[in-house]
Amino acid sequence: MNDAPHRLPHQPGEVIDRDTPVRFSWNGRRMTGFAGDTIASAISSNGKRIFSRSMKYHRPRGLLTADYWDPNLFVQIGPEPNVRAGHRLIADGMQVKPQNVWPSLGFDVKAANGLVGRFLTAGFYYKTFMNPASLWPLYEKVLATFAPGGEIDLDAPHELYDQRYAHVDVLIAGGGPAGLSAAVAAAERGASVMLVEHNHHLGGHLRWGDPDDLALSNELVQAVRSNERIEVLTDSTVTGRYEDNWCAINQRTLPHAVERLVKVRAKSLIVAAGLIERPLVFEGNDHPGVMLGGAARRLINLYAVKPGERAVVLTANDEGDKTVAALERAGVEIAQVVDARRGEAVHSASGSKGVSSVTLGDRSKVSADLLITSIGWTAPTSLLNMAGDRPVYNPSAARFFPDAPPETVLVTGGLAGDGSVEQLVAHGVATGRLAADRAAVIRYRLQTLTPRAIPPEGSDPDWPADARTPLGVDDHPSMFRALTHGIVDYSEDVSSKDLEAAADEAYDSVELVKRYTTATMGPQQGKLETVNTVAVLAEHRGQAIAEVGTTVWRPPYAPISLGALAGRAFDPVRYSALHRWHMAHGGVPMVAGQWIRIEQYGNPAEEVRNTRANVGLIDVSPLGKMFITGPDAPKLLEQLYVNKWSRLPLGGVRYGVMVNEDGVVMDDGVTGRLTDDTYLMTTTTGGAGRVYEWAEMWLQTEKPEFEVFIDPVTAGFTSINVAGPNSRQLMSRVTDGLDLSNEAFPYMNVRTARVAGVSDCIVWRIGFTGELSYEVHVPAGFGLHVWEELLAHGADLGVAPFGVEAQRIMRLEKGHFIVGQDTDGLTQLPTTGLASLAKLDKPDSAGKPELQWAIHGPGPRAHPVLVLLEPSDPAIVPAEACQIVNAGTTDIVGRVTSSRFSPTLERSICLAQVEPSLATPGTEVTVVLTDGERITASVKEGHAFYDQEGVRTRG
Amino acid sequence: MAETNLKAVSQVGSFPTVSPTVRITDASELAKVAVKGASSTNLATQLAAITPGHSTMRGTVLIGSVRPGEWLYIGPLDAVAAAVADLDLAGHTAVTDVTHARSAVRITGSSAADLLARCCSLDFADAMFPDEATATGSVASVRCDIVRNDLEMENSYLLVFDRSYSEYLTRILNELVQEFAG
Repeated sequence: MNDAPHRLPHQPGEVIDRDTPVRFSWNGRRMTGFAGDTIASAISSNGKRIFSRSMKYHRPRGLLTADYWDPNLFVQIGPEPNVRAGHRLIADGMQVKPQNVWPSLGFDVKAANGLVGRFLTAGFYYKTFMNPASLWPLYEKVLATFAPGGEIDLDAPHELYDQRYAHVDVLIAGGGPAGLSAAVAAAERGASVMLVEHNHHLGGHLRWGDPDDLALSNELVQAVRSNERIEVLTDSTVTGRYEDNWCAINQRTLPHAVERLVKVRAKSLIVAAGLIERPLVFEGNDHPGVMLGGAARRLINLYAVKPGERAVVLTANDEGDKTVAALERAGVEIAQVVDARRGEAVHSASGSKGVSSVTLGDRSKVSADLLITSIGWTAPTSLLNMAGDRPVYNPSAARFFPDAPPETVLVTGGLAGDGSVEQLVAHGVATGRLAADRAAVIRYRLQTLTPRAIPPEGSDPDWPADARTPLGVDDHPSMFRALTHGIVDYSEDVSSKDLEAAADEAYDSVELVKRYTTATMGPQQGKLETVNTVAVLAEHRGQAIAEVGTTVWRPPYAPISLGALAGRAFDPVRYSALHRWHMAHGGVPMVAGQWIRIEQYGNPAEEVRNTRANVGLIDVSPLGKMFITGPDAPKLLEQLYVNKWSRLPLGGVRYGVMVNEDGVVMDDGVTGRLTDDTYLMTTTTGGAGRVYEWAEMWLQTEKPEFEVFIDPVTAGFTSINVAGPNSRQLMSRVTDGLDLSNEAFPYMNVRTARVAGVSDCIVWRIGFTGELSYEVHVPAGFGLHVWEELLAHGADLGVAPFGVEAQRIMRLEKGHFIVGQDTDGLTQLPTTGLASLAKLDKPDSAGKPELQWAIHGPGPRAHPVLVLLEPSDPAIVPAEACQIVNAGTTDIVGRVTSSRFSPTLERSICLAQVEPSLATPGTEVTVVLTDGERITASVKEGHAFYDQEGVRTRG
Repeated sequence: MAETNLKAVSQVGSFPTVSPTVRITDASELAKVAVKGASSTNLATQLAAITPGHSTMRGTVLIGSVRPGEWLYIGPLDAVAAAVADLDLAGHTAVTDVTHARSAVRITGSSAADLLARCCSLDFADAMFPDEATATGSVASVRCDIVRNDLEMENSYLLVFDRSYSEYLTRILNELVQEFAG
């Protein structure tokens, strides 16, 4: 049951389901509609005329186009603002509210703006809210109060936005008669077709046409739906066209996601976007009750809604005449038909909260609650603009037409010209065939050029010529502004007077007028306003429209949500093979680039103490690892590192530093020689990818003669560092046949061995903690087994896992720097104290010229120096990145790069970069804490806080 | 290839069957070996028939040319070991066992290509990506070697990728397959 007062009896083309009533509320009032109703049609069927208030003057606004493009139908639904009520379908329980009105839609206090409207002309904001600058915070509040749009709920739940890729032969934008027939013709030619329709239903303007139109629409839709080569996306918009027909489609109404961005590579693109009916500019043209002919016909024919009671119809074309017929059929009294083709005109519309009378060109007044205009079209050439076309204005037809789009972008339907429905269909068929034939040529070439593709049969086909019979161009009266001034841009509340004022202020280019007045910059993206803007400007300047030109349409074709642009979040995350064990044993995860590492197991200080006293295990799997294989491996290493590698013995390990071409430290690590021709390089966790690319770049572009292969195998090994005085004893319990004595396996050596029954393990005698330690690289599939075996066999030795935080404390105690933490994008090698590592007598190495200059260049180079720093108060731990300043000044002379409280030394310790003059041991510096307090700290001698001589490491 | 009687643990998670048209399985247990050879080597001559972008089955071993001068052997451990043992590795060649470094997932069914289109920009049309085709591409922003390896007339794609992304790709693929739920 539905007793909505404006609901008509059954209409032949209606899309509502009268068996499915839908209950909703509008502006706090309960109402009923039908499934298939748009929000606007449902509200309208209940007799409501006012849907919103205008942006600037808060004038009441009603239905204008009654579709997606209606500028007056933005509403709030729950937490979602700016919903297009002319397009979104009503749903059960929907709570629909007007936006930006106070205290109510019917009585909006901000409508007082209209009283001072003559002061709110173009550029009002720019002129008024500029000076004095000190008042900007106040201005900001005022402007925010008057800002249009709905309310955003920051607590609204996150919803899924999806994405998808597609590769089709023919992409068709527009599912009207030309688009539908083009789709069928292209598919019958063997092409894969994607047909995209902006509205919820295929058929275009045929849907609200006469019975013949409806029959044809059904026939075409049936042909499309039954063709397996055609994929149909309704309620979707081709929102952008980019290079080589890379197109973006915003797909709405999905069962599993709010929206989806479909990225399509189309061999041919057919633009069949149709025409968009254009309003006329006159006084009162934004009153509720003034609507376009198409709006009235959509209301009547699609939604069975009576748009009003007594109408004046201004018509300049057949569509206007059909609107008169539709209104009469719906029982609307036709008070007057004003036929522009006979020179008749409308002067203005008046009324308080809607049209109550219409003044005609002869100044006679007609009482009416509806003023319907059908006076011409905008050609939505956006996608053609995006393809590089510059549409040309045809004055006799009063609209723009395509000029010369690329040959893979074809135009059909109303955008291409005029004609009967049969002629449009014929043109669509020809266009579909041409698009398919051209796509076939492109497909042939792609298959030829793509090695993995099936080679095409036959010889390279010729490029099909365009032999289509062009559509005609009908004459149409040029009607843009009537005898009076009125609204040009409904969304932005820009009037024809505003445009003229802007032109008078020397903003005489249409592009400048657009930006100065914001005309065409609202959510309609110029679909209703662009041509009228140009026409008003042309009239005021006494020029032809073609002389004024038009603004350029850029993506998106229609506004698109940020969620759709972002799409599904593909943010890869990497885990070690031991991650699940860590999480099951109290590990606290932390983000380290793409990796998730374990920061601690509850007490980092205790983890440090245990490792220093007994033995600890840390999962260092994210450490970058690359096999470098081949007879020229040492040459590549010499090229990448600053030091020498040619004499590294079998089983030997060497520390190396890499610098980029500016001599800036980019990574460090150890590399071991496993066989004559096989080296295993380790890098920092974050630097692994960069170093691999860097190594390949040198190999492929600078040194292609090197016989070397590089294989990144970071995740191939679970890397476990076994550190602490009991580590040798623990390792001896799990290794077979590996002599772990200092003599047989000294510090900075590497061996392959069987560990806990797993062969092909690589055991390093290296460490980052300052303790005797071994690093075991286990084939990752067996990593968990070896980890658990180490824990089991070390129980009596006090073995316990430790996390990244404990490791960082211990490395800081040992004075080891971390690339990227203690260095930055400007840190050259000398800063780290490792200049002596650089062997500049090598024939070549990355960054060598700059290092030469940095280390031995003419004149003193004031490199900052990395030093150990001890705060005077051992309890204070300055935050990392705290500035170091000259005492009593704000002159920055350094910064703390790392800082921790050392459980071993029971005091705070830091690494810091300072100016060379402050690097002398014993120098006292001033550190500014984050709260502004200043403390003193002194530079400590040497390179380690703990075990300066490295006895424990080498023990 | 590590010799042990232990069973290697896969990092790829489980894939509950939710769709009648596409199913996903963990294929990480397969041995994977990267074979590289300069163009002047006998190895390159031996494998010249498997050109970039293509693969072939030799017995139970799938050999795919994933990059110029690089072939990926995938199959049962013993079979891959035997196949690699037959190679002439003289000169500038390298054999790297990547079994533990890379995971593998197989996506099979009539909607397999559609599922991949949710996360990979490659064209999986039959003409452009036929059976035995190979490519390297981004799948959900993870670099994968992709081999089409149809099973009993069913479209099937093998994805081989860095092991550390296993949990992530398991989650993403399980999310994406929901759209194809029966």
